[in-house]
Amino acid sequence: MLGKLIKHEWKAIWKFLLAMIIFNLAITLVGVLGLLFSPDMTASDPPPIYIIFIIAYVSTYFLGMAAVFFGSLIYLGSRFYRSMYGAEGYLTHTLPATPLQLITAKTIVATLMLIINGLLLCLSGCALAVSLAASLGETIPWNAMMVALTDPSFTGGTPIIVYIILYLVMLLIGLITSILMIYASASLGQLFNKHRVLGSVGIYFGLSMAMQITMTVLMIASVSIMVNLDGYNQSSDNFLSTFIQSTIATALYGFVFFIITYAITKKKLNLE
Amino acid sequence: MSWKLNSDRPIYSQIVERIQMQIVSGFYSPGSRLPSVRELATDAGVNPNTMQKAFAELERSGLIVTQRTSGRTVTEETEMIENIQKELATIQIKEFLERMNELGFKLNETIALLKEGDQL
Amino acid sequence: MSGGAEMNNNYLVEIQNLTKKYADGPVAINNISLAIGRGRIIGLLGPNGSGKTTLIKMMNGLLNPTNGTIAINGAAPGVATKKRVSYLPDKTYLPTNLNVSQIIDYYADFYEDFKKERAYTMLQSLNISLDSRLKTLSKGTQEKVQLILVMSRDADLFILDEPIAGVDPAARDYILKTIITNYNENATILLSTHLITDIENILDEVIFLRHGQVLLTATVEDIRAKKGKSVDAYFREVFAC
Repeated sequence: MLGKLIKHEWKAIWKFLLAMIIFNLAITLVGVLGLLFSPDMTASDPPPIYIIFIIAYVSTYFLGMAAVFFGSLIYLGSRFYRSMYGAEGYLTHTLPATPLQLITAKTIVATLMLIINGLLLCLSGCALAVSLAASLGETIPWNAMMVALTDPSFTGGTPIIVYIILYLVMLLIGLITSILMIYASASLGQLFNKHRVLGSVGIYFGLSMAMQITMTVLMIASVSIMVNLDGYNQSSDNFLSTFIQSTIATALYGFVFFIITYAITKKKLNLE
Repeated sequence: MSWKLNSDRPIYSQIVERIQMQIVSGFYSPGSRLPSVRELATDAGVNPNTMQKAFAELERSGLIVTQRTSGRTVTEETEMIENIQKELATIQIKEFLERMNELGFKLNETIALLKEGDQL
Repeated sequence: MSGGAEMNNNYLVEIQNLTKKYADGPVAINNISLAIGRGRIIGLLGPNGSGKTTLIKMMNGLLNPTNGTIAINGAAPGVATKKRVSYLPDKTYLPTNLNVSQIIDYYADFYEDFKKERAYTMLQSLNISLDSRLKTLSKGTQEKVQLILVMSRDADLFILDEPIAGVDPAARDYILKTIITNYNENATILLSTHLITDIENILDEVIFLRHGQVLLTATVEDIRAKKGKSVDAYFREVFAC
């Protein structure tokens, strides 16, 4: 059953994902081509048109990527709301599937979509970096980078690669939690009798703020503990533990959001 | 739905009457196979259970016979059919004569009118 | 069919002391007990606000009761019952971006008892093309598609909420014929409607609902025999304002 739900959820969203991928490719291609066919960047006087192009491109790039990210969140949110609490809810909730299966399937597919997007973003960045290097007449020192990443002596403790892996885990947990936050907001909004969508959006910003504040407080608290304990120790292990703390906090939030969504779907469903 | 059933009174008895009529008039000849309950129910636009009840009543009266091999058939007892035909006809005639009486015709006047009617 | 509290394994649906009170006040269903047998076509009749939709939603697991129990084939509404219950809501609920062929595949995928051939045959009789996007179909046609999907399952219980309200008279006849043809002695069809005249001939029994309570349950032939009037006429009498 879970497999079927995932399959059909995927079928519903793949076109949107494709649009995002195409957008990403297009904008990256523009950048790559622009860099590769650029006039000599080492010259002291690059043509002003080119500078304008670079500024325009960079802002478009960042705006575009941000739009894609937020656009996906909005799309995923509206899809969840429509299929769970809109008219389509009559179809979704009469399927022989448990609320747990329904929510899990949607979370998995949404996470996958955001991961693919994230990967493309990285690849896009790499492509641009390589093009930039090429246009400057350099190559990226891949080997040196690999050594630096894995050598523990670099940071006096754990190698950078561990941080990178932890960072990716934190990103993944963060991604899943943002998705679950959307789902929880949509579900809480469903509790209202009127203006459900508005309620969901409001709750979303509320939850978002609550989470931000908690994370900041946590951050400050753990740093002040470190400072109070034995003077500020710049050991990378302290940094690591702060890192791990926020990841756990994010995961806990994600868990709470999941429970909220599950409980409302199971007990408080009230389709119009 | 051309059965013209009246919802103001039990449908099953109306169905019984109609099938009786069809048997008596020869639409369903003696010994012939009747359509299934489901077919007739769909045709009449009625609940199959209601049609089933009508069939049960017709079976009870002996007009319909259920055989294991050939399903539901009209009885072969032509005498029974004729008797019923006569009974139904008698009811019609009685009603007709009563109404003619209400119009003010005596029996011999009614008969004379009928003979005329034949030539119209 | 009785309003008694005795549990009998031969009943398809057993409802005991069911109550639904919404958080903001209204008691939509007020302590009803019902037993529904197999192989019947039953009309759930009542004016707006009588609780029909609430009752139907609870039977489908779309709403949680405040009190009381519902048992379908002995089980409370959940995954097991959803496999055996086929529900037609009183609104258009299909994802509009799909076409007819895709929604058939969807149903076939999720419901083991879905019969594709039946669906294709019915769609053909109504001249509905498999390639049409649901978005482009008229509301009446969408409703026909929805009904076809629901009736193409071999469920134990069919719950149809206003199946003929939005369709033209010719389609209405077709739909009623379809209901009769798909009837089988092991399945029960529960029809909720306010168009009583059109459907009363295909009903076995009726349940009259008022203010969330069962006013009466009876066979239609009993009503005709004892009250000397059609169910529609009797309904008007009972529910006269």
